[in-house]
Amino acid sequence: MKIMNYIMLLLVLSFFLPAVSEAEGTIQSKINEAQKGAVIEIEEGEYEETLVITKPITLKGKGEILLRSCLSEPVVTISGESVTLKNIKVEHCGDEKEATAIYVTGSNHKLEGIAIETKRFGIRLDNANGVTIKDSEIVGRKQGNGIDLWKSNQNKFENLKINNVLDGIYLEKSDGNTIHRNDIQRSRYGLHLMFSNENVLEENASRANITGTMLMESKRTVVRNNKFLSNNKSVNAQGLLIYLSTDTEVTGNEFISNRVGIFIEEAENNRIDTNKIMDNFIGVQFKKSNENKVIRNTFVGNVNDAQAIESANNQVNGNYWDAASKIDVNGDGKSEIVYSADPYFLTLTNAVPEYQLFFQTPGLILLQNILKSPADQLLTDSAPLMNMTLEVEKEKSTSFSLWVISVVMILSSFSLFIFGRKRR
Amino acid sequence: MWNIWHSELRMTIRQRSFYSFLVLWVAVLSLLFLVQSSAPSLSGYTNMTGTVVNVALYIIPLFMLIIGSFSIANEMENGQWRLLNTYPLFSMSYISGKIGGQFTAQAIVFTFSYGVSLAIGLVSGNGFSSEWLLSIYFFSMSLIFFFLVLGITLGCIVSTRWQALSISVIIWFFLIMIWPTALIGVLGLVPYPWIAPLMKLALVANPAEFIRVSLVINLDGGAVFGQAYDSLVPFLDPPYGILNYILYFIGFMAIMLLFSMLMLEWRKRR
Repeated sequence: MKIMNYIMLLLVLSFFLPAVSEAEGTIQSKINEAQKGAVIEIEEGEYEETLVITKPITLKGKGEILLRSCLSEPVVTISGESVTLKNIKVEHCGDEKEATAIYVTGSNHKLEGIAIETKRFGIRLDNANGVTIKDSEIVGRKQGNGIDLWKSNQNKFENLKINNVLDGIYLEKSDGNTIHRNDIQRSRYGLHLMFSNENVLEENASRANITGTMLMESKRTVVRNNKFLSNNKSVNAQGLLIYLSTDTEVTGNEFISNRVGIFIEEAENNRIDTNKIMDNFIGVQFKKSNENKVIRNTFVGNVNDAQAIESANNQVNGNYWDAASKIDVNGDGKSEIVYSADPYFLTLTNAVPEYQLFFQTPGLILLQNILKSPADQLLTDSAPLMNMTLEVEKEKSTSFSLWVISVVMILSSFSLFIFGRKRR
Repeated sequence: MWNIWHSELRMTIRQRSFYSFLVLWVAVLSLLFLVQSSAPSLSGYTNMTGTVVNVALYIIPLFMLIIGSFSIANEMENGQWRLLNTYPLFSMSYISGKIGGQFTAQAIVFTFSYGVSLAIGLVSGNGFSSEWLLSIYFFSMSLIFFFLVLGITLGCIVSTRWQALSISVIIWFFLIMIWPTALIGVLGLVPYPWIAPLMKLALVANPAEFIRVSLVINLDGGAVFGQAYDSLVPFLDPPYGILNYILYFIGFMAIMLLFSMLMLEWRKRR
């Protein structure tokens, strides 16, 4: 009897089940049924499916939504116009070379509150224009870019947290994009621009990457009020690398504790104005670069302020250098003593990279006089500023633990001293 | 050995020159701490750290070499060592007692001065990072130890204090002042592929360089030495760095002890 009941139940269920699942529907079926401009709300839960959105609709998560897929295609594919995606968590567990969590093409889409976990790429924009991505998070496995742009223009990226990817935001042949207030950490390059012009990078933070930001063959980029911090773990690390790029405007940025603050290589007509360059091993380094301007910057605490090789015609004037000896006779706020950086160490290590071990060795002072470079190779600031152009706030420390250290040192040495003086 | 250790410690501490060292360290360290306080950031390797490290590298090895070599050369000269030899005393315990006593004495005066200077710095309203402070402290202590051992070994070789002084200065000048110049000169003569291994060998051969490089790596500056030392940096970075540091320490000690012991034994037989 029991078995009969069970079979009956199964029969009834099998009769109803397709209808039920149709009513509940996959998200995709809801998308297929939706009219243009419709708003689809997804109930809380985990969904193991891939979505393709081609018409202007809004897909919105209510509560915790997780879309998950390990297939080779993207979890979400967006094309057409004006698609909006909101409050959705996307996980792509596929490990193909081109695996992507969200693939975007078309124009004027909006992605907001998206959290992505991916093994390869986070979001790919392919010929996508006018797309806005904001308030989102991307975590990767250092095998693909967080956001990858190909021939995509006028897009906007705001308030994104990108972690542990290859390049945080990678632009190739993409112009006029705005990258604003993003935070990129522990990746290869924070922002990476290739053959991309007129992009604006503003108020981003790029820390503990191999290179904070790299501009390559890009023109008229604006780099404003960003922070480049602690990009110092790799032997090729630097805050900002300007390579073969022209007309870059770098203003109001902070470069702190990088191996090299700003590295300018084979680049011309760039302008580095009013930045704070602090505690780097090398503040600014030029290589085969000419006609660049470095003005009104504040150099504090760098082990070497500036170095240049094969770069004679740069204008480096009116900066503040904490290492310079300064004297102002006529009261115009500029020092009368010329400050120059001798690239002898770079010249030495360029020929034999092994000699980099002599970095800051005490005997180098002798060597410095022997290897003095000819005057035309020096990087010279003819009018160093007397005062900083930007405020440098002093770090604070808790003095209690320091007092403890001090007292422990005094007491322990003193008691040993008494013990030592004692006669047996 | 403990008798030697204790008598060496007591003798050093009771000398008047011992207190002049106290004044010297307090003066130098307070000055360095005041210099450091003008730097806006407290941690990591900055140009101020570079200055502090360089001053320590100029002054500590020279004094330790002189103190170490004098402590033995003095006893050689005034016949105390001959007297000691009439007792059944191993050269080994004589030397290790000397090193132990002398190091304890120098550690006491340096630690005391460091504590006092730190207090002076704190009273005058400066902030420090405790990690930075301890790094510099252990850096200086290592310098004191390695160069004392080197000095005492030197003391076993020379026969007068005058010799001890001049050779100490020569060693200091060679290891600290002219080291990079000399290395570059010599390495210019060898084929290019030899440079990398010879540089690493030179790093191990000069304790001052080894300690300095370890400190830079410890303060997160390993990347500054470039591609050529990419494999070396993790070696000296904590936690493995500490182990390798201890191994280096043991190796250095063993070689120095063995050498000075052989020297003394040879002298005894003469």
